[in-house]
Amino acid sequence: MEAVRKRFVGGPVVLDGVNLTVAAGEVTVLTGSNGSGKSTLLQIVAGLLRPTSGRVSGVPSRVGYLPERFPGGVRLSASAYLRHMAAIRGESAGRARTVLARLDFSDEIDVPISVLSKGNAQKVALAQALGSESAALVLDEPWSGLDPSAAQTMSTLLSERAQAGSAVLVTDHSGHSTEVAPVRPLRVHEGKVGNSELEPTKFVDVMLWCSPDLDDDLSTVDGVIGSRRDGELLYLRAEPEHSDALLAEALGRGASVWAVQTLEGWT
Amino acid sequence: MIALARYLGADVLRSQRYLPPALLQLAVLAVLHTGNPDPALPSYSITSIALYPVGAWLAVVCANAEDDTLRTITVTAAGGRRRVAVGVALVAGFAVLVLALVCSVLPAVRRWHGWTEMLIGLTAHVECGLAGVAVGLVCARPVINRLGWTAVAVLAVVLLTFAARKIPPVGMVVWQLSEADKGVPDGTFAVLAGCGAVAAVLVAAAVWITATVGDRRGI
Repeated sequence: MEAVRKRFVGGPVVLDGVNLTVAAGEVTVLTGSNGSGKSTLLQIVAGLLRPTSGRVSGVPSRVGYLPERFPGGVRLSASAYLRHMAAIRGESAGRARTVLARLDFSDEIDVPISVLSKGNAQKVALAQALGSESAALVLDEPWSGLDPSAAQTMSTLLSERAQAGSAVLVTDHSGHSTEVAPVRPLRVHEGKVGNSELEPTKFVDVMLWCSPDLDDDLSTVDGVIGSRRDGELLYLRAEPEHSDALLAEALGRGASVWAVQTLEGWT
Repeated sequence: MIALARYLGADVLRSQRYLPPALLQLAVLAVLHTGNPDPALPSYSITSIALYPVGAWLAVVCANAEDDTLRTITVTAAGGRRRVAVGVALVAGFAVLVLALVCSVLPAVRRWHGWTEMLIGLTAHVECGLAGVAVGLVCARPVINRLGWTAVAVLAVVLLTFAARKIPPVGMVVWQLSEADKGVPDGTFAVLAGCGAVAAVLVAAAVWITATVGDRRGI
C-alpha cells in the first residue's frame, strides 16, 4: 500500500498518505482509537473500496474478510451460509465447519443466523473468513463478541494461519492480539499508520464511584495513563505497578471501587 | 458464477420480497385472459409492457435483498463487485425469464396460435423484462440507497419510457406487437433482434454502473 489517501464525497480525509506492507507469515495488527481510519484501511486492502489516490498491490482477488459488525438479520442458516460462501470461492465448506467447531459454536447449525446469539453469529462470520483457503485474511476486530475461551482459540487460529504462510491483517481493540505470534503491531492515528512497532504491555482498568471534584486528584496519581468520566462513574487506566497505590488513594479519598480488571494491549 | 447466483437467489427466495411483483404480473395476465382473449400478439404486448416495471421491481428486490455489510463478505468471496453485480443481474434475469415463460406459454396453451407467435411473445417478454432489470439495477443500492427514492426513480424512468413511445427496446417491441391484428407483421424479427441487442447492452451498462459506484462508496 503506497501513499494511499481516502476521502469520501463530502466527508473528511479518512486516510492521509498510508504506506503499509502486510507480509506473509505474520499477523499485522492495527490498533488505534475509534474513527482513526482502521476499518476504511481494511476495506481498501480487501478490495471493497477504491482509494482516492495511491496504490494497493499484491492482494489476491479473493480474500477472507470479516466486517466489523456481522449483521443480525441473515435469513440463511449457518450451515447453508458457510456452504454457499465456500461454493462461491470454489472450495468445500469442511474447513469453515472445522473452524466453527474449534470456536466451540454451541447453537443449532440449521436455524437462521438471525436467531443465533451475537457470539455464535460472530463465530459463523469468523468461520466463513478463516475457512477460506485464500492466502490473505483481512479481519476487522475478530475477537469482538467472543467469550474468553473462544477468544484464546481465535488467537491460536490466527497464529496457525500466519505460520502456514498466510498474510493476516487484523484490527484489535481487545488486546487479545498480544497472544498472537508472529505479530507486527502498528498504530493508526489520524489517518496515518505509524512506522514503529508497538510493545505489548499490561495495564489495569479501575472503575470508581465518586464525586466529580475527585477527578483531578485521582487522574494525576503516578502511573495513571488515562481517565474518563461517565455520570457518577470515573474510569481510570493505570500501569500495573501503580494500581495498588491508586486504589489506596481512591479509597482514602472516599471513592468506592466498583471494578478492577487487568488487560493487555499495545503501547 | 453459478454458485454466486445460487446464493443470491436463495437469499431472495427466503426474503419472499419477489412475491408482490410476481403476483402483479400474474394478475395482469389473469385479467387480460378472462373472457375472450385478443389476437395473440396484441395481448402479448400488454403483458410484455407490464413485465417492464415488474422486471425493474424484481431487480430492486435482488439488489437490495442482502444487507450492506453481508454484501461486503460476498464481494470478497466472489472476487469483486463486478462479479456480484453480474450475479444480481443473473438472478433478476432468471426471475424475468420464468415470468416471461408463464406469460407466453399459458395463453398459448389456452388458445394455440402457433410456435412462431409463442416464441415472438416469449422474446418480447424477455426483452421488456431485461430492460426493466437494467432500470431496477441503476435505481437500487448502491446507486440509490433509500427505498423511497428508488421507487420514485423507477417510476420516473418507466413513465418517461412510456411517454417516449416507440424508443427501443420496450416502446418499439410493444408497438410492433400491438399493431399486429392478424399474423406476424413484416419486420417483427428485425425489431426483436435489434431490441434484444439494446436490452442486453442496457443490462451490461447497468452492471458496470452499479459495480463502479459500489467500489467508490464501499457498499
